[in-house]
Amino acid sequence: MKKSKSVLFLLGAVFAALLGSTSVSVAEGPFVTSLRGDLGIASDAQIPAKRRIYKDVDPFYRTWKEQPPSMPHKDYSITIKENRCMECHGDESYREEEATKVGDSHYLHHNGRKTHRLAGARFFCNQCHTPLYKVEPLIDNEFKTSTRR
Amino acid sequence: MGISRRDFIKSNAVAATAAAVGISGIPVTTLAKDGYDKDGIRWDKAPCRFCGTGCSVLVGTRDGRVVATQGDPDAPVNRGLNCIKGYFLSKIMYGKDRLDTPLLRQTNGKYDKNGEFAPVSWEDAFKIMAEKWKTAMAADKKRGDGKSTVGMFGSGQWTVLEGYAASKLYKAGFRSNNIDPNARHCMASAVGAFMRTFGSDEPMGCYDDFEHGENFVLWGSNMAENHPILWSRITDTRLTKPNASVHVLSTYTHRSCDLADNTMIFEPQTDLAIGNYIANYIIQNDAVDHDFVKKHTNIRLANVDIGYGLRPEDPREKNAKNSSPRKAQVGSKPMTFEAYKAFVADYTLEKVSRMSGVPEENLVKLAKVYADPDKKVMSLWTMGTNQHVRGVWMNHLMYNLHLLTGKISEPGNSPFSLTGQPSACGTAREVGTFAHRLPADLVVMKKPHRDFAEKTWKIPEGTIPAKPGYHAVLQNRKLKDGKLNAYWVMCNNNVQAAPNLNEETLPGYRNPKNFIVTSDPYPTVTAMASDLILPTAMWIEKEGVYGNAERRSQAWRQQVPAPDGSKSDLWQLMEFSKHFTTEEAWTDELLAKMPEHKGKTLFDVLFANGQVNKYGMGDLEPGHDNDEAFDFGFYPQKGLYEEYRIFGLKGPKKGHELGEYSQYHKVRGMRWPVVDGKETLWRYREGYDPHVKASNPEVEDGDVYFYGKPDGKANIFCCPYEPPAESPDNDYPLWMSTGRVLEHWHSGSMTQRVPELYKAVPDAMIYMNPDDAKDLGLYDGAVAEVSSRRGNIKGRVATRGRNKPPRGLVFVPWFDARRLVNKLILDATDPLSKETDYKKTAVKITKV
Repeated sequence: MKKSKSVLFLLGAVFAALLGSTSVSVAEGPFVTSLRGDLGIASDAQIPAKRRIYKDVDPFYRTWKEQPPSMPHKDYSITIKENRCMECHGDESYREEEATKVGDSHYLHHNGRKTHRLAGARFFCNQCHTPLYKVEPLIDNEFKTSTRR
Repeated sequence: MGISRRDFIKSNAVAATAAAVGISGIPVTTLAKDGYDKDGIRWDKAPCRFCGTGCSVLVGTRDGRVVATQGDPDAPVNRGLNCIKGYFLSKIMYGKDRLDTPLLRQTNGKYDKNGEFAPVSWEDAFKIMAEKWKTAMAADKKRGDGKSTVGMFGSGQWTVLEGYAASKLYKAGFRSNNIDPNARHCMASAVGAFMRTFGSDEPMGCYDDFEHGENFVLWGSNMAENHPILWSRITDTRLTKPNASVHVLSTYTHRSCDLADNTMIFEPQTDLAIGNYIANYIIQNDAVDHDFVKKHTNIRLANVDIGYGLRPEDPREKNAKNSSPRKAQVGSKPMTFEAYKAFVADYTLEKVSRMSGVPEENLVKLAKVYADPDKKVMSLWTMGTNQHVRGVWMNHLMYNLHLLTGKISEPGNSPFSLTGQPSACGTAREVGTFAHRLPADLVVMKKPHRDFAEKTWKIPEGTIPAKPGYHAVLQNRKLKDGKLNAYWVMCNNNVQAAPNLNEETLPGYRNPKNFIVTSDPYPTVTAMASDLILPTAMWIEKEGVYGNAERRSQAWRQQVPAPDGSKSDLWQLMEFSKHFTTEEAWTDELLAKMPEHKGKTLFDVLFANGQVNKYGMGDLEPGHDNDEAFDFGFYPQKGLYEEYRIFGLKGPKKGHELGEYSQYHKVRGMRWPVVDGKETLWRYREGYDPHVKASNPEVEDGDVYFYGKPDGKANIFCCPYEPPAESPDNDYPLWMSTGRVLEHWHSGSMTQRVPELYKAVPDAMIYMNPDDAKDLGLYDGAVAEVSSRRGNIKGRVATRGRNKPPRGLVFVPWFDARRLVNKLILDATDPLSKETDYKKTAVKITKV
């Protein structure tokens, strides 16, 4: 469990006001905090920093082949009329654009039949692929993959 | 490993996918016969932990830890695909701040409501909990007014077994109906309308309708983000089927509109008018299937002016004609077709276009989809419809369109209510963990239903209280008022989720009269607002069953041990019951009816009753842990399921049969009713549903019979437009809607701890129209405060983001614990369903 510094919990004062009771002082213990960190539940939210996206190629380690790579650039709009992702990542263009080619699995119908165009179920790239922002994890994650990659 | 493993391996789909992918990773083809691949990784199935879609995943485990997950190629729901959340499931259990010891607020080693959290043993945790529960229960008995001061807030993320055990412990053991699931915030309005319209909960259709269908209408649902895998199936149909079309109704433009042929952005609450306009169009254009309407429906006029589910002293309740009693809220009377026709005639194209702001041609385009007898239509909805002060009515208005045209209960013609949680259907609805429900559509208010439950549970007649307990919003009010004193929150994050945090929830949790317990794997804001935190095993650290939105029940086995010190919800519920004798929980009068229960614990009478403890260790699947079985000495999941199944097999409400427990471990789920081992895809139509002929032998092949109602007829409910509980004014000039984003699930307690998902969407943004922003001196990325009459949050503005509100509306997602946006929400509910409206709050925005 994460240990964090002991912080006075703003809650106490707020309850005191709300409940009309006196001298309530609740302390958030040293053992545990929520994702709000030092911020009491009743207090105003902190202001998030400005975020910038990673422009590196795939800034995370894929632990499984089907984990979708992230986008090293901003996301483009996809509508029923056009899928702008395919302008660079499609079969005809990826070499010239030096872009990652869309995986073969994306040209399979669910029944295993090959499709000429991007499979319909895969049309909205943004259901799986997204840009990532340059931020430290909110909470460290201790997941470990298998040794093979 | 069981047969299920060999099923995986034989599958052509697996082979095809593995062959096609062929890149680095762990190829599926290396799966060995015993379920272990050559790297010693064991692969087993589990439903996804997140939404109500119910995708199946293959989980790779080694040395007691998850090392990978992938979409399950054999799963009919997702066919090998996952959404971005699903692809990172492998990480949800490994957040560094995972709880591993009970924590109690203490000062100098003693419980103190104002103390700091410090570790205690499970024994001491249950000891103080039991003490608080017993004090409350003794006071209840002494008062003798039938009101219970113990309660529980449960979950549509509980396994079926956990929800069943919790409901039994409260309704039978503690004799308290003050148990309600977070599903109340989610689909209570859908339930209300299912019961009122069809007399039986849950959709008649299924996901196969996505391929059979051709026209899809979203009434308040952003499926592209919130049901992405189902959206991928609709996308496939839209892109490959000639004449397919997609229509999206919403109060702001979102990603689902990217697939839409017809996007309709309407003024909040005017969906009620749009629903009535389409009914009017169908009637005016002679598109009514009169045979169907005559034969299969009754028409009823709903009572109007029913209030907003606020506290009774609120002027909006006092001034509403039918805000109380309950009878007045739910009341209705028969209506002729002619009278109904005259009623909806008021909802003309011109008027509704003006009210809603949707151009006339878009409304007509939508109406034609329903009216054209040659067009199949599937209506879909989620929170936009359910989290609505007239949510039940809005559900009715959609059913009306399908009933007027007979487009129901057949492939592709399908009104379909989507759910948000993995077992909202399975656990909250089918098990009946609501304050008024019992398993298999039974309710506590009906004596024959209580009798059946008591007989099945082998407990005295009269044990289950006849009055519904406190629903979600009422629980928080009762906590604040000091009328609910011993309270257990399990498998949800209600301080973040519930409306009106500052005025109701938090004062309730911190009321010195109350003792609040939260069971969770992580320190959520709810845990931090409590007095005792119990560390909880999650997902595949235990065996379970989930029920998804298409009536599909899916089982999984325990695949890894839980972290030392944490225990499953099921273990917690069952173990806690050992702390109470029947004398402490029940009255002498009750015990006199079954003297054999005297001197026993609640564990003895509820769980060691010869049914729940019927299956021994020999029935466990070899090679799999089952921590609860090892602790209790029997196989509780199987015993609980088989006892629960009696309600569907023999209970007073037909059409709820489930299969044998062991069968679910061999297949990728089955859709109930499961009759003779076979699932049911479409309900109420002869040829698909075995209950039709069984209910009425006269029904001809292919005809429908709504057997949930005594006369076999569904109700068309005539409901008008009524205004929302609050609307923008001079002080708070904007609408605010809350909602979800693709990358995070619900309150973010799991997904915010997955670094990739956190990095994808680190903060809840304030989505605004660029012109509104400009008027306030704001711009994309600027810092602003959003405030309502009840609270405020700060965040950054997004004017070019994925959500594009029209002028006058802002959208803020609620996943972000650092921006508790539900502080701003009024605790107004649909008076019928008691579900909060999270979509219509009057706010103002100021530059910070």
